[in-house]
Amino acid sequence: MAIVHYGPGSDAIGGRPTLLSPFRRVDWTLLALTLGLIGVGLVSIYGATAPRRELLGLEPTYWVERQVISVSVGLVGMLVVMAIDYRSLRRLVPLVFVGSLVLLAGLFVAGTDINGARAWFEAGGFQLQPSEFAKVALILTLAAYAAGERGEPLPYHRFVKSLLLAGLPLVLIIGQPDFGTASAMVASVMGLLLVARAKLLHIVLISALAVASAVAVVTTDTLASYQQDRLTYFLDQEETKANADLIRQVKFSKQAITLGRVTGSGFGEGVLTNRGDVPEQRTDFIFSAIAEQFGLVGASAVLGLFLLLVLRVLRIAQLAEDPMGALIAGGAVALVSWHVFQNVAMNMGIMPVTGIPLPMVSYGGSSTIAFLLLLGLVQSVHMRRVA
Amino acid sequence: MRAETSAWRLSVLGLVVVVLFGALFTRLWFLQVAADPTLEQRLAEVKTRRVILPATRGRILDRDGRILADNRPSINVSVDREVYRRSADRAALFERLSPLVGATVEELEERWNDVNIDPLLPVPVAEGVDEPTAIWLKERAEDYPGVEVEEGFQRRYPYAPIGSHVVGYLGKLDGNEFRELRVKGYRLSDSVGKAGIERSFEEDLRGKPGWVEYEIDATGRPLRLVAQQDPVPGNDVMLTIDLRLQQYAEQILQVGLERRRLVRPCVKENRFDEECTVPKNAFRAPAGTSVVQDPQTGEILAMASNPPFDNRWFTAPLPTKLFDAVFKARDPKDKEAIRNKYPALLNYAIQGTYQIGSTMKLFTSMAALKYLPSGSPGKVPGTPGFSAEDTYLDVGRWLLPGCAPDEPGGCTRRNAGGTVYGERNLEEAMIVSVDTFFYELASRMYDETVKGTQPQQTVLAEFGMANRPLGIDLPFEQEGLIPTAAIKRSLADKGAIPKSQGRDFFRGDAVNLAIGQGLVGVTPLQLVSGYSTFANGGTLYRPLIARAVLAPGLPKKGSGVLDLSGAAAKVVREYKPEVKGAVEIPASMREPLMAGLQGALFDRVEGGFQGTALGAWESYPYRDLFPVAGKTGTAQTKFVALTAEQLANKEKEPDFSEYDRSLFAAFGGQSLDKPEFTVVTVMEEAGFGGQAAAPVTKCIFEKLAVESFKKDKPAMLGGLADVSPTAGELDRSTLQAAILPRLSDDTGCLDYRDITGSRD
Repeated sequence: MAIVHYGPGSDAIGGRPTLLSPFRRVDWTLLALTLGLIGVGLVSIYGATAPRRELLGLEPTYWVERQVISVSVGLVGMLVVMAIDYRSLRRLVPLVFVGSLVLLAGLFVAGTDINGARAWFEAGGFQLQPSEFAKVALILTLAAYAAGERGEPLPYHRFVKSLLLAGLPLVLIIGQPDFGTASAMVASVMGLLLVARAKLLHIVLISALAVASAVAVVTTDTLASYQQDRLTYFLDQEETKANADLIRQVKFSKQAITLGRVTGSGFGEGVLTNRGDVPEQRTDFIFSAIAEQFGLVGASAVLGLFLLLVLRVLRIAQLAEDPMGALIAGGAVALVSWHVFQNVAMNMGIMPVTGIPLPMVSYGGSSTIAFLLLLGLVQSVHMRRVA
Repeated sequence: MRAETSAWRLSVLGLVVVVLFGALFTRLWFLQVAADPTLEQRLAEVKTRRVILPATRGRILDRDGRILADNRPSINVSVDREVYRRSADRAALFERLSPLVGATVEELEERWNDVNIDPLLPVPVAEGVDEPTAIWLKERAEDYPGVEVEEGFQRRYPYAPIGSHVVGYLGKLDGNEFRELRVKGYRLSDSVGKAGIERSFEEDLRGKPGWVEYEIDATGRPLRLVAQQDPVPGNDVMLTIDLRLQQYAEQILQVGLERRRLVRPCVKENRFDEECTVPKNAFRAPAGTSVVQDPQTGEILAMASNPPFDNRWFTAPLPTKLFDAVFKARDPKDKEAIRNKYPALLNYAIQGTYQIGSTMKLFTSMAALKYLPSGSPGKVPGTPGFSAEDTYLDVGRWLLPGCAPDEPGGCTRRNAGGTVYGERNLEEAMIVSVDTFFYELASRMYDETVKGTQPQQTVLAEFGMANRPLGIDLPFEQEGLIPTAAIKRSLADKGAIPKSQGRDFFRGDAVNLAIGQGLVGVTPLQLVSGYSTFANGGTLYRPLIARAVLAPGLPKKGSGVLDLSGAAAKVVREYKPEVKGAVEIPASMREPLMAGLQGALFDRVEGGFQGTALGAWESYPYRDLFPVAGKTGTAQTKFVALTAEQLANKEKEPDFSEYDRSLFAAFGGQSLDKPEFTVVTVMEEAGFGGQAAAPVTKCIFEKLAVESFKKDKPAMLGGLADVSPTAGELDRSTLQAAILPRLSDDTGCLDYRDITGSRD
């Protein structure tokens, strides 16, 4: 076993463990990377929106201010989660899981359509996207369910039951329909089951099945045409009336990235960004704004931060005290990696456009808060590895 | 087994992660370092957008400066089709827009689906949006993508529906118009005059649009003004129409038609009979027209056409239902719609061509007097001539000499009602309208003039009735159809008449033409010009509808009226009386005909026969102060020449009407030596000329007389406010309720203010 033992109760010498005592073993590197990415996000949102809003005579910091609120809520949530022993969450798992399902199902009753997906609750100027939280809830649920007592390989029947559990929120999300989030969910489940030592063959088969069904859905007209556009434009790149907006979006995104060259055009000086050429730039296409303003250097640095963060979480998975902790961290690795890959790749025109954000950097409350909660869980795993 | 440990699994996961990130780094490097070295240069070009500033369209005025067409600044909201092509998005947008623009979601959706709106342009969903709403929408442009708020002008017709047929209306360019007009700077979204003055004076009214050039951002929002060219407003057009008279003529025509719809054809001519009041088989009286012209100048003072329409219908896109009602009626392929033979948008004064019945007899007489006297140019030497004193013994029937079986019409012709009039001269024949008298004249002209002289056709042409339009400045003026051998041949070639009839201009054609029946078509405008030419002593004027084109900027005087005191300085173009031809009418011809035309209205002849219009005109109070002369016409609509459109659609038979068409043509004024007004009234399927068109015309003359008397005594001047914009509309049931109790009073003239009691 690779779990390193520092010796029992090394922080508890001379006294009983207190609520705050685990905080001495916070993974400061991970925390620094988290805060760093949040900083990158705020700077990027400002750079992508403020110069243009100023030009239009609008309040320049509007979006940044809103994101600061989300970040604050998320950080508080992260601290709260860190303070809780993830193992004690086992009892809460059914509640969390069912809660997430209820929210997802509620969308079909009271949800709001945005960009063709019924993925949001809307009230009083605030929006909530339950699927972002459902991803975290699913990781926690499967980690609790699939973790063996002593880290033995996941038996076949538990593997199948895990898949069935994952299928519940997945069906609801596909029903919205939101294929981006669904793909991220599949990726995180596969990552988690990989770490849970399910049979490699099963994972490969299931992944292949997911890809195959995605292809089948695209080619058999079961999708609304605009969704099909999103997926197919990118295969043939031929502009039609229907997919013109998408082609344009990706074209401008790629142009913005190219314009950044090596050193970037400078903070707040993005030409295409300030013209507002790239739709959804503060959310799904934030990476194009970063790459235009800060160039290869800046964009690589951001990708580097993500890579370090993911590897750091991977290390926490290795160090985890128990299988549940390892599975939480493993799921987090897969989820964050997939989000970053899918998002940045679509910014650069090598993956279809699906509306999934760049974790903690893209504007958007639900996503930011959900990822901070997930990293709080990961921190909790790290903090309690010897408690 | 080592491969089964968690650590190994985590390494696999790590490897996948590193590979994914590696792919991202590689792609990033290619995009930022290796790709497209000229991109910066290409993007450095500044985007600009030119926004067209619409010119204020010129106003249309009546002869006293009343503003018949005006503009009001208008804020319009339109929605981009691309952005909202999904119905869910659209429903959500309309839900939000509905309370703002004051239209229901259904109305907005109807606009969206309206096939008459150009599919390539943003859909106009609301016109005349108020200022606060416009600001509200503009400030929230980010929340309303694809919703455009534009400032423009909306056409306004303050006195509508009065004069709608003359004033016309605007509409969006159709494809053909756009191809034709784009060289003049029209855009597909522009409006253009579609009918009436709006169409014929488009060039003057339109002005010259200006533009502003902005530097814009990628979403098209202006950043900086680059250059600007102000629009040049269009010129005003002043019409010859007197709106008070126009309103009166329209109303009296409507009342006249309505009155006929309450009675059925009666045997007794010229007298009202109680038994006639039977709703069953009542006259249909579906359409009509009244035209008032100044015979001394050719100016048209009023031009009423019925059924009426309202040009305000066209200031916003027509609701589909109304559009179908207005336009589908003209679709010859649609069997259901063709039933409406009388579409409201037609101006029957210039677009209807009619057999004019006995109103033709004036011109038949002129032809006989000019071409039959011995020694005159076209006459066969050695034959007896014709003068006004010559008499003809009517025995109630007239036999067509040398009658051949394939000639049109029967060989034996009778007077209307089979009446036997006895021996009559020209004056008497005009008064009681003796058909056989004119058959005889036409037959003699056919025999006694050199073949090819065509006296009837020549005289008709001199009086303005020919196979060409008169050239009034209104669109779609129809030409007449005056039969000649050549015309008949070409009609036969087209299949409009049988081949056997197309061989020549037969005697039968000549006698039919003599009483305005058979193969003949004359527009009411041609008929009024013909009577004007006789009235003014022989000058054929081009009918004028416009007096002048004025530079913009005349100030208003009171509401709805311009101050014309500075008009002289603003004249861009003036329309002076324009002589198109002259006819010599010596006193020897004028006097007996004038006596006949006056007698038709006011006299009886020996034997107890009364003038054909006496029943209607007996009560005319100004016989001496404001004398009038005229002629009735009753056209049996047995044959109607097919129009080119009907020919194109291969219709075998025109749709015959069951009842006679009623006509009346008259002129008068303070003196018959120099009459000031010519009036022609035509009423479809309304019965005898003396019973339908004559009373309507009489009412118009009463009004003209009263107005003329007022002008002589300035203290009595009516004042400009006496055209009431709201008096233009009364529903039919109100009209009928007002007419019914006065039905036996054939002579009363009801205008709408009599009915609504609003006369002051």
